[in-house]
Amino acid sequence: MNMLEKQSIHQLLDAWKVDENRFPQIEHIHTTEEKEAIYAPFPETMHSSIQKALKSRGVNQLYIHQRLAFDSASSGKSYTTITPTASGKSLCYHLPVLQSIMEDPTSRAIYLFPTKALAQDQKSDLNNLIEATGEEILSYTYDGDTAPGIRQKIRKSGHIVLTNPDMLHSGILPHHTKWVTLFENLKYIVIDEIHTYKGVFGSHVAHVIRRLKRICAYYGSNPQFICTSATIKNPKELAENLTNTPHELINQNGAPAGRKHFIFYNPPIVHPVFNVRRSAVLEVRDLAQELYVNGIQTIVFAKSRVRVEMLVTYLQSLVSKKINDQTIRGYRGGYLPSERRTIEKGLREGVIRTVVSTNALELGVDIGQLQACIMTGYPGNIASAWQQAGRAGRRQDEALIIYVAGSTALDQYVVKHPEYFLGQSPEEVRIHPDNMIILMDHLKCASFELPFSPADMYAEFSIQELLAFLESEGVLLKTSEKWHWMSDSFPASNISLRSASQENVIIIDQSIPTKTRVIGEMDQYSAMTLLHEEAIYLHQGTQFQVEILDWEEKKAFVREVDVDYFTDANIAIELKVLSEDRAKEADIGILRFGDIIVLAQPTIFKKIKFDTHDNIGSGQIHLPPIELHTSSTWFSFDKPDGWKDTLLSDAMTGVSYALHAFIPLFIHCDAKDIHVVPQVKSIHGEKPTFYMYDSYPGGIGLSERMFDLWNELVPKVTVQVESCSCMHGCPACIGAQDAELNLKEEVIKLLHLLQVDRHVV
Amino acid sequence: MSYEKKLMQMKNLVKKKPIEEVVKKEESEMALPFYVEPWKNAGLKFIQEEKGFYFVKETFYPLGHIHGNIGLNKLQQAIKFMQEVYPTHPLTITKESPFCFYDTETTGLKGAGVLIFLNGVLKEVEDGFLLTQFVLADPGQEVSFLKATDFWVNEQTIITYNGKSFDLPQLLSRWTMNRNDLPRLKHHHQIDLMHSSKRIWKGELERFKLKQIEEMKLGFKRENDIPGHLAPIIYFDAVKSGNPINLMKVLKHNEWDILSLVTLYILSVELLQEKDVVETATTYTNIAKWFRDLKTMNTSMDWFTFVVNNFSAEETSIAYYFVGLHLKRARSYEDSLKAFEQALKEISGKYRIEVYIELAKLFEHQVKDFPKALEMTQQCIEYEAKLNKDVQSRLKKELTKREMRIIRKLNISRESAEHNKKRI
Repeated sequence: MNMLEKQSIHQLLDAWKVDENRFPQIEHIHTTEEKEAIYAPFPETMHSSIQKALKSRGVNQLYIHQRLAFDSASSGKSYTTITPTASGKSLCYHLPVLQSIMEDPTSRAIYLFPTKALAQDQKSDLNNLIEATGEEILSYTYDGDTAPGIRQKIRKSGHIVLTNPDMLHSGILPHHTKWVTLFENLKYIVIDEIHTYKGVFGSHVAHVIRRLKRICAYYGSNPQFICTSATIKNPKELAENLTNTPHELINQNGAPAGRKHFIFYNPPIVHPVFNVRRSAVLEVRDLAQELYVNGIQTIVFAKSRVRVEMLVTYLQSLVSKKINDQTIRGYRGGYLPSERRTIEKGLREGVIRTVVSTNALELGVDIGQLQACIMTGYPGNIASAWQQAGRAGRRQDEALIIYVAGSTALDQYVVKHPEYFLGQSPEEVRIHPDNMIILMDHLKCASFELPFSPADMYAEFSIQELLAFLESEGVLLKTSEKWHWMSDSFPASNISLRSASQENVIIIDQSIPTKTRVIGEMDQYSAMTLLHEEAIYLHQGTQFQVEILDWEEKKAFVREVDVDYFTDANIAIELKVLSEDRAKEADIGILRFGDIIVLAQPTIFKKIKFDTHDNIGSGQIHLPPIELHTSSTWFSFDKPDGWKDTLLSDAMTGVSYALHAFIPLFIHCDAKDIHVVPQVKSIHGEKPTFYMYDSYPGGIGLSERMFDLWNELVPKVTVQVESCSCMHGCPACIGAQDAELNLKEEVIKLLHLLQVDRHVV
Repeated sequence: MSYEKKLMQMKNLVKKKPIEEVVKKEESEMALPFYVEPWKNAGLKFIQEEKGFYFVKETFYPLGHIHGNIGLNKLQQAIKFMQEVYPTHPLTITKESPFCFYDTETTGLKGAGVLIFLNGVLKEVEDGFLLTQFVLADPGQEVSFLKATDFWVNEQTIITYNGKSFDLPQLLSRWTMNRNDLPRLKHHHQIDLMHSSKRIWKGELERFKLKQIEEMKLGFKRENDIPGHLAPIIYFDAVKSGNPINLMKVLKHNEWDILSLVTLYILSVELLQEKDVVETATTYTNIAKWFRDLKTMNTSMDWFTFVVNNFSAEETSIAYYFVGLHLKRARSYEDSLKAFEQALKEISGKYRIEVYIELAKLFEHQVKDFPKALEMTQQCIEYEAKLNKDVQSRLKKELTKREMRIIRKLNISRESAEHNKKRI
């Protein structure tokens, strides 16, 4: 790193501290000092070829966490390491795996990465290491891109197979008879970045691992697990839940780190009465421009695809005079893989100076270390925030991390309470393998792979009744000894791990009628609000208008346009209660937990002008509803005396807004994982009711946690709303309100009514 | 009630237990299926052994049996011919091991959950052939069912249609699924008649379904045949309902498949054996190319010569091209040149480019006729441009290089000619 760039972060900081525009917006600066490395010598048992390979890279000793990992592996234990990005974490699994193969060349290992791209990334890294050892060790990626010609070779003689859960689920486990050599000799299963296996996806993966263990047991192997995770609250619990195997936790980190400056930045208030602040997106644009001009390589994180595209559009105007300038790029899901590879390479080589990304770049995609990171709003959970911040910081260099708060309650809470982020209390990552729909899906796959006997358990589950149910559905047939698969279908191909078995909507550009081309894809739920007809869809900074959305065929036809607005859609929700599983009484109402059906349907969209963000028009959206079966906690109460329905409705909307904003703080989940819906006259029971439900089919345990935490939640929300400095309600507490209604007072009144002391019955 | 709703109601049925010792399975008593009688009445034999049971149907065909328009009695002679004349050809059944014709019916297309429920094996017996069809009594009886075959007893030559990628991998997969209760599967030699049919009739038949070949080549037309894709449902139904009527139709389907394997084998060998004009030039050219790829050059040449001598010019251009190649290799450059020139008259596509290049090479290096070599090269460039729109193709670069080189040689030879003139 040359001195000029190094100084510019420093100079910039000094300049901001005396800048009368910037300084008042900086709520807090926090600097973490340089950290020295903690080393440990090579283990004596480590194979000489590995030692040779490491020494050839100039590595003469290990970081303490790498050594601890090696020792745990040697003692036959499964373990999980937590280490930040760029701490040499891959050696925590490479070393024991290579060791096992050098000790016994028949040994095999599976590496699981959350995405195909990460596996391909890691392969070159691993192969370099293997080459340096000079040993004959074969490692391959096995995924949808693997050429049919070499698949057989991989099955027979690949020592290390790098793949992803989806491929394991549908491409390997159902064909396990072709992988006998691998399953008989499997010593290690490496699962990288386990914190990404959360919610529904994580629950699916937990079952794929259970199926994998079942197949290993059939072939007589009992592999050890090695997991790695970003910093979360419950890595050990997550790893154990994911693998159904006891784990040892390695949480020491011996890697050195450079000096880091964290800036908590709050955009200026533009409407003091409504407590409305300048848009975070615009503020980020200005900050990113300043860093770009100063030659500081920066990653900007934005929460949605739309925001990424908006920021790319804004920033590219900086270089619009240069021909074919590629120094500012966007990056998000929905771009084609080749496009993403080019961008990653550009970042590593330093050609791209600013990249704007969704959380797609949080993961271990190799883009090198950048100098600065700007977060547009709080990413929803602490683990993500740290992953994003970890993108900035070269070892011997200072790094700058700027958190720019949006106007939402959560964003404002974080900017006012930096200790929430800095205080090292990251959230739990939860999975819920008990989800019935997911469990049944994988029970089918497991039955297909290997018939169950009438005495069998499936992992920790007693499943004989469920097998009987599958027999009654005509999928299984029970003979004297086994439950046999009796269908000509291939169950894994009907079960997708990523979304609740929904196919994506393909986006087709028909700007030039003779040259229509696919430019991206999007999940159905997002497509309802982002690809409805007349929506403005942004792709790499180019605006497209959706002309036709063919919902049956899942295709959106778009055409390039040049307009000065973007679109924003609303969704209407309808609820039905299926069953009540738990209930507890309260003085003013009853809290219940059970299963519900949610019907979600988009209603209208608004056109919003760039820069001013004025509403300049709207339209209807005509799409069929999406149905969701999930679990829910709901609180019904008697209508308080003297409240009119309309007032109660408005107040309940305000309370719901506040509840939804703060639930993620208390149960540590993403805001989008849970919904809060108020009904003045509930369809179920006719009383005023707040429904809180999981966003995923079958539920993933979030609303059940709400059932237990309700008593703590309401008082905390009340304090937050009361202490907010706005007069009539603002996005940071109960949502922006019209002043005449004086709703904030009513919301606070209602909140107090809801928190009469309760006793559990 | 929707599937999701049913599942929601079952929630309370799921019990979780901490990981504990695996309960030792009790040896359960062998329960016979309720449909033993109806299946027996339909013509299946019920075989019960110490550890299990299976059904079987045996059908005998005398030597004089005719399937389609081919008699099974020709098989012996076909086998003998291959052994004597082409001992290493892929269609040759070796003397060393016994052989069988084999076809399976399965409960699906891929994956460890797919069962074989019917193994059909046809073998030579004294004065005829015996077809043995083993039927899986129920999905729990795979071990007895698989062990009833002799695939674990001795090495054999197994003749199939698409067996290399389907039937044999399926068999291996089932064996793996029951590996703890079965002896090891032997390694068998395979002859896949789908592969050989593709070699023989490429460009001649549109599809290579056995049914098409039966109708086009074997003179056999199926009546009341069950489509193969219904087999899984039929088997499931037979096991659940006990009614074997449709299952017996699957056995018939399997029987026809296997008989057609025999006659297809006979016909394939006959085509290699006799140079008769019963098929088209394309077929015989295919056969000649096959021998060429098997590195039996002289046999290949005999076939190309047969094609050239017995078919009209528009059908024989490819054969002429290969004859040309052969003669060139034998250093008969003038004859080779004639063959290529003959080929050029009608040939098209990639072959035409090859012919141009061969001619250009001969003219340049052997005949030293540089104007002709240049003409061939330039015609080739023109033709290639029409065929291939890619302006960066490697072929284009090579051709341009060749063109430049010939022009250079042409100029040198002209200069030296003029130089010589002056001297005179």
